[in-house]
Amino acid sequence: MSNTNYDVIVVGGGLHGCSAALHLAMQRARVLVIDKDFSGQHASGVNAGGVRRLGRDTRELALADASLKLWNSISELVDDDCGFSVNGHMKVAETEFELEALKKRVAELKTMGYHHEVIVDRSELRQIVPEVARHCVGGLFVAGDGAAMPYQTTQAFRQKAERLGVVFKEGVQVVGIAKNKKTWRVTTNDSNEASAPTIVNCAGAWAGEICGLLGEFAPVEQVAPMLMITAAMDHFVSPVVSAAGRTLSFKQFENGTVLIGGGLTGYVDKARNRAELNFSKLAINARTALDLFPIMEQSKIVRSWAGIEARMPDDIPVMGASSTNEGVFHSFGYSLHGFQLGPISGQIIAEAVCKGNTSVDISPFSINRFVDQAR
Amino acid sequence: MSINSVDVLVVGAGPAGLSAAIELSKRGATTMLIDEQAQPGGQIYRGVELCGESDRKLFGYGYVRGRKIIEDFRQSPIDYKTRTVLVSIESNHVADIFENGVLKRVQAGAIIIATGAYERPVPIKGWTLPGVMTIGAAQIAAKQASVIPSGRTVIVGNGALLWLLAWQYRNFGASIDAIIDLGGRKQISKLLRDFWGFAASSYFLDGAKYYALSRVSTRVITARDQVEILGDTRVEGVVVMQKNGKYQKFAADTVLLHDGILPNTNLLGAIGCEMLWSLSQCSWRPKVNIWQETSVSGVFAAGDNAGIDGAIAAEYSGRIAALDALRQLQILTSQERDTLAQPWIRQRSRARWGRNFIDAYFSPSNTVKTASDATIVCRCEAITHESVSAHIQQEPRRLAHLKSMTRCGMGPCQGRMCSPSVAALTAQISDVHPYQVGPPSHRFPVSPLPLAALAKFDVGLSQDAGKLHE
Ligand SMILES: Cc1cc2nc3c(=O)[nH]c(=O)nc-3n(C[C@H](O)[C@H](O)[C@H](O)COP(=O)(O)OP(=O)(O)OC[C@H]3O[C@@H](n4cnc5c(N)ncnc54)[C@H](O)[C@@H]3O)c2cc1C
Repeated sequence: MSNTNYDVIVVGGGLHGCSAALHLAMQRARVLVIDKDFSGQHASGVNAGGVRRLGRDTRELALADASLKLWNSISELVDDDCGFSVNGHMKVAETEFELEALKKRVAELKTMGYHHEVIVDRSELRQIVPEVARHCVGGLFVAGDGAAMPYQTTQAFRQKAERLGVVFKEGVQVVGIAKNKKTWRVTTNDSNEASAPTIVNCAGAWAGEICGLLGEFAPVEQVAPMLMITAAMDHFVSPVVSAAGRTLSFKQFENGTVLIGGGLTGYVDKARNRAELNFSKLAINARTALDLFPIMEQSKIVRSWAGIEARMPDDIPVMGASSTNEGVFHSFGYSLHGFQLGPISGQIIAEAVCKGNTSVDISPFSINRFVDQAR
Repeated sequence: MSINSVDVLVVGAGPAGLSAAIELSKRGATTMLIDEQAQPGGQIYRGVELCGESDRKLFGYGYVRGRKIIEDFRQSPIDYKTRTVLVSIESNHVADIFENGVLKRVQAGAIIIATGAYERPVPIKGWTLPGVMTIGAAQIAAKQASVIPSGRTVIVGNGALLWLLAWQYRNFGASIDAIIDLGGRKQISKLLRDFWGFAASSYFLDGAKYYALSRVSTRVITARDQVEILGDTRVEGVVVMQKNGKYQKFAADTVLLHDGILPNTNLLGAIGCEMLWSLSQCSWRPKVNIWQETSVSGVFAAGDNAGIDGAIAAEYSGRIAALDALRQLQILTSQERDTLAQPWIRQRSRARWGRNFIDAYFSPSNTVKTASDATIVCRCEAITHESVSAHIQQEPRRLAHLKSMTRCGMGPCQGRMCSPSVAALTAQISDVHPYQVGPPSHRFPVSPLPLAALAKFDVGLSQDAGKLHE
């Protein structure tokens, strides 16, 4: 690693790190990305690939809308379609009570000027999701949401960034960060160093540790959301389906396999850098899938896995400038739904770094919200 | 649901697992042994219990030995579950097993994995055609149901098992039209160095006999270049091509393939056991200590899944693992364990004599290197040689990357059938050592599990766990 040639050092080569690097390179910054493992090994490469605005925290909606615009022309950004397709997202209500709650949500969104979530009744639900269980009474549908291939996407961002001159260093961990006049000196566990005036913390589930190196506090919880996948079945469902009252994310791929997840978590084995499964919780997931899709009765699980993800106490990310260190920016803590925000997060960080202001308001995501806890 | 509690859970009823279970139960440990097959014996002693004296010659020297172990096993107080697979292991040796359509939880004090070996895939053109099977599958058919293919049979490949099968077929009165030997050029100097170990080993007399008899009694063609299986909808023949453009054709109704065997590490990988690359056997194996314990404490690997050492070494490694498990359970003291283990540790090394010679003599031919573009590499996902090669050229050296980009290894077999080929191809194309490609990543369940069975799995977690956290 050469010592001084970089404008920005990005810690973490997940989707958010790659996106930040790409957008910074588009602003002609010289960027180094460092990842302790390899780009896409963790959350960004193993997630469910849901590109979803449905049910999002309202504070994230402006950002998610802007991100969807980028998704819709993703090939222009990264020269790769990322396997992105738009087949809608449906949240199923199993009871009238649940449907009422969904209706309230739609009304609330309307007052804020958002119209993408629409209520569907029993028969419309059946039209869009023919195999859904008889007892379901309706749902909430977003036609413009979709899904993409996570590993392919992260690689596409990474490769585009590399084509624009970004340097990736993988398999080395950032273990020290110190300020030397106006530049940050980053030390890695291979006893190398690199310096740059700006650092972007995209360390995902390990971002709290990077904050620690900087003497800043962020309550990042490491969680291990689980997914399982079935052997191929005949095509029966197009949109990604979730449930109003239970944890579920349910999607059939083009090759016929069905992905079942939604956020039930296994265990993080920190020492071994692995996420472990919890089959008794996967069983709950299996029951939900069967309850909502009787057609799954004959299906077989061929593989299951878990990824290590960062979760914040309020389930929204940390984005923007550090509260304590000049020249440090954060982009982490995407709390199980950060894949959709990948394309935009990098643009926002590049704006913050290069211009000092951002095209979407990110004040709700400021790390300052945890300052009280730090004391 | 009640959780079953045992001192030791043993997975696999081959020589290693049986020996371990016998030893454990003999010394008072409550022992559960599970195996997906209906009969004990594993691969090598498959069906031994069922076959009569007259089938003896089919099994060769192993018959008596296998029968003895199984008799001991049948007399031991072991909770033996047939047609049962291990689905997952969580921390603290909590195991979920799938028995008779039901998923159950077992709390074990230690776990011994003895899942044996499987055959290295032979991805030559036409290997997925009906009428093609592996030597192992042919051997199972012979042992279990005395089924021998009718019509013309051609064997293609390399490895000790190939010659053993040829000999077994001969004893059965079956004819083999040709053996196409894919074994590469032998490195004489290396072979000589290891020969004395082999000559002194238990393999020497029997092994040399099978080999020599099969070689002289069958037409053997040495093929160093490309071999392809012919046929549109099923096997019609085999063609051996030479570099100078000449080729030889053999008509066949059945083609049997083999290229040696590999440790079956899927379970160990999914548990997260550290893996090592074996230079002599060209395969991954778990890192184990002298007691066969893996990097995960209380999880042991015994028998061929810890490295191909054969049935006799497997017995001793199973017993040695049992002894340390007994020590961990405080049934034995360290001194007692050491005293009991001493002769077995010696026997285990003795049983490994000759292994280096066999490994070197039959070093894998890795046919994938000469396969043509349209040859299927990953059967589950129907991914071709061409498509894997294209991705390797983009980013070599990482199996995980290739898995995500090509889907090789994402199907029901979880890469058992393609990862050795993908690793060999990567090593060849990007001129790296296969170990640099990294071990394949395995995930539970290592064999497909019905969703409905998982849905019925209930270990008393509250339903609330399924509710949204919001
Ligand atoms: C199973 C699962 C399913 C999901 N499903 C969805 C979904 O359907 N839709 C959706 O929108 N989101 C989903 N998510 C969430 C989404 O995957 C994440 O929010 C997002 O990928 C986070 O990206 P990241 O770049 O912040 O983190 P990561 O991808 O984890 O990247 C962080 C990187 O930082 C590196 N790093 C950490 N510390 C250091 C250090 N000290 N030095 C060097 N490098 C370091 C790590 O090695 C890692 O590669 C899911 C997550 C999981 C786990």
